[in-house]
Amino acid sequence: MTTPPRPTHKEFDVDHEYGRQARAPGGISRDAALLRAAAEIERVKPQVSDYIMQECHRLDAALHSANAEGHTDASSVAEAYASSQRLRDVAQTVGYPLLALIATNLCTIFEALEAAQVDYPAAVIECHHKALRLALSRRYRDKEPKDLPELSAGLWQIAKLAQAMRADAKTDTPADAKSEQLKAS
Amino acid sequence: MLAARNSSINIAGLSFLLADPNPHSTAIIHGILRGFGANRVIEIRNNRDAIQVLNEQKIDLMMVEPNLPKGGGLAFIRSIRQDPNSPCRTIPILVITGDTRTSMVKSARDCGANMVIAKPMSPSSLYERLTWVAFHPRKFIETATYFGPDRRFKIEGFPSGKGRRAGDNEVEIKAEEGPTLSQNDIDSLLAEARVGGAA
Repeated sequence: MTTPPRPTHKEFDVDHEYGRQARAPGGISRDAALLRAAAEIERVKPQVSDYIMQECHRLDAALHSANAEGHTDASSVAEAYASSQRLRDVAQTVGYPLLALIATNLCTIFEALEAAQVDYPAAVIECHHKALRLALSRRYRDKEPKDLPELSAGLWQIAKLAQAMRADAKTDTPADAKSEQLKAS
Repeated sequence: MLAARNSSINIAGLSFLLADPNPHSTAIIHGILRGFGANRVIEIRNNRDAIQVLNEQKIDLMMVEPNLPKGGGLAFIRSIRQDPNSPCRTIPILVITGDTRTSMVKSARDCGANMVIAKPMSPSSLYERLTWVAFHPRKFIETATYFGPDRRFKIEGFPSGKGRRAGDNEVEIKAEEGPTLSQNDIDSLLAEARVGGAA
């Protein structure tokens, strides 16, 4: 008599408390929930806005020292990346879309640098550094990217190239060629 | 079946754990959850505190940032899913991250998370994920190397039937056509591939 093969996996339903309660009647409608959530975001906005300004100044300082005198400082680059990530995560939600675009772009560029092992693109980073300072000024702080089409188009073009480079990191394109593409943008 | 766009959600009284090192990020998410009716939201900043909370309290849904200090958020999720004695082994766990690279999404999926939510988070994106998890529970799978929600997602379009961008089209789901592979078929194919690869 042969032994039946042992099952390689188990598959089962889970009826968790979260699902049971969330589906129960007496909840809040989607429209009401979104309105109330928007009001809650407005409530925390002053506190988060102060933090965003502080984080922008930290990013400004890190970008300043990342390539001071032409030498790339790895710890400053790491700090600039971490600071960009923190900004990217919150800036859009509380109403700083231009800052969010710059931070997101910087994250993509730093990730492309890490993935593709290319040289530090000083000119590209400097362009974002200047855009950051512009976005921090009172005049531009609340602007949408669409209010500044030329600046936004340039930043998006760079981001697109950096995204492609990040995704393309394992291909045979030589690192030097990738560096040149980013610089040329 | 897709969640109706105007369906309601009842999360008052449920316990949420927000595990994220950035207090400003959690302040926003906490605010959004409060707006949805949640009144029990616990914020923690590292793995150690998360484990302590899980040992002391009942948690119904977790949201975890991968950059969680003292071990990382994904390792924390994997440890919960792999622990047969954990009371939270099968609760919904959402990964919240600004890093949406394919490698990150795959890692989140393979550690046993139910879903990834990209930061910056809008109230509508969070609402849609929460209703999706509530209204469309997935089977759990246990193998020698994985414990968590079934990773074989059937593509049924966006949670609400339509994407967030103006250019997104409604998704039409066609009826299933032809035979589908059973898990045994898939296992045997993989086993053959492994044997072939080793040869």
